[in-house]
Amino acid sequence: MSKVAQVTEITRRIEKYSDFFADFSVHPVTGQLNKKINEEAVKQSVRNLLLTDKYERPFHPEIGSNLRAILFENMTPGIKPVMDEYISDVINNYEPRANLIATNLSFDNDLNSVNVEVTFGVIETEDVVTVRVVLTRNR
Amino acid sequence: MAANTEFSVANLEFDSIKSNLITFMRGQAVFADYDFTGSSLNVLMDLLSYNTYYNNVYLNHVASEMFLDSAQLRDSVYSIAKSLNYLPRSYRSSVAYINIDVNPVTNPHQITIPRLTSFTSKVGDNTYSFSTNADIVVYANNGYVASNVAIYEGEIVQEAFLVSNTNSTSNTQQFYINNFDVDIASLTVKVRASNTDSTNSEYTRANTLFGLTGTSNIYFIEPSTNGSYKVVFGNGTFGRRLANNNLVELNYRLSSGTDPNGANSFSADTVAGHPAAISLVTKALNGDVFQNLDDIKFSAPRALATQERAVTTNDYETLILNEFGDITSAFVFGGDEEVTPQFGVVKAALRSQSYDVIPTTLKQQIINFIKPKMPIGMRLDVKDPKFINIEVKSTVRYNKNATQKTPSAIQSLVESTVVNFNNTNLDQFFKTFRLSKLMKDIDATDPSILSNSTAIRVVKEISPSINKAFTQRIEFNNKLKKDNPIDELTQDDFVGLSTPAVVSGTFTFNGITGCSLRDNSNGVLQVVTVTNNSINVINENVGTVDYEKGVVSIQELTITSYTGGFSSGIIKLYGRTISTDVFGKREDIIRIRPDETTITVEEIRE
Repeated sequence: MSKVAQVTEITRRIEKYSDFFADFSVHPVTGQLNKKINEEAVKQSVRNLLLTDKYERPFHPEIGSNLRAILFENMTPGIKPVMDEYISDVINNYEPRANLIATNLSFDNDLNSVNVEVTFGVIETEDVVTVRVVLTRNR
Repeated sequence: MAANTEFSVANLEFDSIKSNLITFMRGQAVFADYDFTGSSLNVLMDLLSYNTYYNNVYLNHVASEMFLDSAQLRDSVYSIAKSLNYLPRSYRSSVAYINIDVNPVTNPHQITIPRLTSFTSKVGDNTYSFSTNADIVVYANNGYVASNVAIYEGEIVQEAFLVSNTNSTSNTQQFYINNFDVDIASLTVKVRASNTDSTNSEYTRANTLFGLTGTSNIYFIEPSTNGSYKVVFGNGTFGRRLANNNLVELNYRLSSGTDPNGANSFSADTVAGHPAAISLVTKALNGDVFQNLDDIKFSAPRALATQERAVTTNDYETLILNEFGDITSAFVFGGDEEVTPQFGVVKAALRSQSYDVIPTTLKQQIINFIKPKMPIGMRLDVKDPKFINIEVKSTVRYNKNATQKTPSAIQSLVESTVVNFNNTNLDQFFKTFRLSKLMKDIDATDPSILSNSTAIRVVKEISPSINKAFTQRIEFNNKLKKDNPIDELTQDDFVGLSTPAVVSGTFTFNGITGCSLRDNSNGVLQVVTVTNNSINVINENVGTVDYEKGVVSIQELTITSYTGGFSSGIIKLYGRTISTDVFGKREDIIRIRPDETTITVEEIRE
């Protein structure tokens, strides 16, 4: 028996949170679904919530950030606090694992897009992570 | 797996389905984020739950549309009705009967009034077109008069279909009638060999396969989608099969439904090219829209039991009520049940929505409709119902402090209540009037109504010829309450307090005005004059009263003149019943008429 095989409880990474990839990608060798664990799972969840509009989920119209709904609003200074509020609302209401720390919005007038950066701490793991989402029209 | 054993499949709501999925996911450890709204697993569960829910709803609808009791879609109900060999009733044209007096300038021997001769009539602001459905010949020696001509409301439409290869090679040849407001009874079907052939063969409608051969010129009518119909031809074994390039011509009438009912004044520019005078015999009635779904659900299984044959009393009632929209209630019995038994006769007492006395033309229509369905050797006698009217006198007390309504508004509301009570509970065969129910309804008319005192009398009408001895048996069919006998000489002031079992409206007898009929509480009917404090007997005996059976027999009464009553030429006979419940027996119809309802309103402040 190799000594490397002996792993103690302290060094083993605990799978507190686990989710699959949104694109259903599979492991090339085992053929099983790839997993996102812990802060990666939470990041994917936050990203999903940010990109979900209200009335998008069946039977639960209240879920979602509604960010895309304001994509066609004029890019005025007044829009920023509205987006901040949308982001904090959705994370506080629907992602209990994330402790929102900061939101950073930067407008790119030439590309008609908004770069959204959300920084939060993951509860129980105490990791601080940042999710970046670019909001822009598709076509 | 333990988790699988707890997996519930009985829940039908989205949230329950998702909750079951979450319960299932808790039993395995591969993915743990089922509880977090934004996780991919949660999104996937949303989709699975939605899909399951969608299938639940879909299957629920499929299942409910499969059964006649629960089907909601017209197409589904029609389809099920078709399997019961029931054809839902189509739109139906109003029919009026008129006399046509043609006035030609020359004097031809005869004039033919062609089929589809058009007449117009107005109901409200709308003008409707009526037409004849057959050629009518009038002769000089009869003054060019056509009597009792039936004219049918609606626009005439012709549709033509060319039989194509596709149609001729399929198992059945069927053509869809493109108008849903077609009156199926008006449909005529003709077939030409080709569209260049000027001759045609008329096909007749078949309802059964009996007696059909491969050369029978017949067609069937079947319900189709959206309330429309289709014409189906034979398959070469039962009914002639159409050949390729045959031309099918459908002629039919489009009905305006119930709207033209009541049309009573008809005109035409010319009739057969001549001026004509038109007089009304019977106003337009019996027009109807297509059968509603509840009605089909009620009728289809019963029609299957009836098999289009009139044998039992229920068969007659179902057939008549189904065919004649104007008939709202029917009571059918054998002639052997009459007081004087009549064998070989079926009696049908029918309540018409439009008439108290059903016109002879409508009676004949009903007989003509039923006759082919009756056993050989039997005949149908259509009778009018015997009405027992209820006179209602009600004093309603209401709290002035509880409402802003005026006494006349309260009175109007209570009158509506009485009318509704009649429409809901009475005016059909075998219905019973119950005073307590009416009083309860009156109290519930408005929250401000505190109480009501309501009294009733039963009313029958007689129409004696004047200056002729009149004899008639009047059946109240409810026990009558006789008063204490009143002595003509000693009653004095008590006349005003006496309540005889039977009294009548006033008439002139032997030149004395203000006479009325009144029983003497000993079973004798007398002619009297009455004031508040005196009673004079003019004729001591003009009939009898059977209080137990509720029967009044007027014998040899000669009246000089009368005008009173609901309309002129009618004397009302009022009966006081023992019970406040009035029963209708056999041909009796109990009803309350607005003209015999008196509502008095008293204001109280409390």
